[in-house]
Amino acid sequence: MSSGKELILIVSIDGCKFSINIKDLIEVTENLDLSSKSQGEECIGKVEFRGSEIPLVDIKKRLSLTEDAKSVYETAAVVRVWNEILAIPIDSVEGVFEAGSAFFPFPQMILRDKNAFTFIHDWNGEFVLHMNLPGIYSKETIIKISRDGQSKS
Amino acid sequence: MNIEYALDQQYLIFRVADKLIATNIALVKRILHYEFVQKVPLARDYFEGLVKFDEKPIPFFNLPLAMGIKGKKVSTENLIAVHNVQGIDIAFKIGNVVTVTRIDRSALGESTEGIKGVDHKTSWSGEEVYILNAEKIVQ
Repeated sequence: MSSGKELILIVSIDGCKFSINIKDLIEVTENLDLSSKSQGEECIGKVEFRGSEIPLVDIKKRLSLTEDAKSVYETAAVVRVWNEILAIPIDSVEGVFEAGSAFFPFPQMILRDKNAFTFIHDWNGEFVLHMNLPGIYSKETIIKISRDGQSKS
Repeated sequence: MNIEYALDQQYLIFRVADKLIATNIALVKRILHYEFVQKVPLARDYFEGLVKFDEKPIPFFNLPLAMGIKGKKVSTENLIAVHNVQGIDIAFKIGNVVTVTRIDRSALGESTEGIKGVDHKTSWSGEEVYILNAEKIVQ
């Protein structure tokens, strides 16, 4: 039974754990079909989602994580950011959890891009960084990504 | 921070590479052994991630790198000094702790070596000691 606490999706990307508010999540989708590649900096290409094509963003590049030459993307979190639908490639899903009592405000002084992360969850002794998607992708960037990815939804 | 007030305090002296650095002991919460640092994406220079302190995540700051100290590596171990900067706990990477002592502020001189985060220096046991301005270095 729900306790009324916020639900978060915890995912792994490049060995780091991140959480996404379940309110921003539309679906976790597997067996991605990359229908076309993009020349845009932030956008890998387009993937099919519920009969439409949506942008698959290059989250590793955006977060300055290890860039790899991966050409096959299997799993993505499909999220809504600034009223646009995006697919964020992830390495694995840890699950959906209630945001417990062990969460802390993110020390913003660390960040080059303020408000990219807003909370830290202590999850099984590991720190999980809570993504603030509008802080990671500005409205202008989302418009550019949508243009590069040409969402047809 | 009021420098006049601070200079009346005892100071923690530690090594960073081959340099002696001093910081106001009143602002140091604890000295810890170097432990796992969880990396944080999109971090500012020298903030290398998060460490656990009293079950809470606090920023980890690479002090030697930020100060630009690249001298001969004399430090025998890496420790973490949890330092309060403007009400925020920050874990500074340091070398080994040398001593805690009172520093005579009349003996302070201006530091002209261009070490980042250092305005003043003094001498202790025949060696130069650089006074860390923690607020300045993390700005």
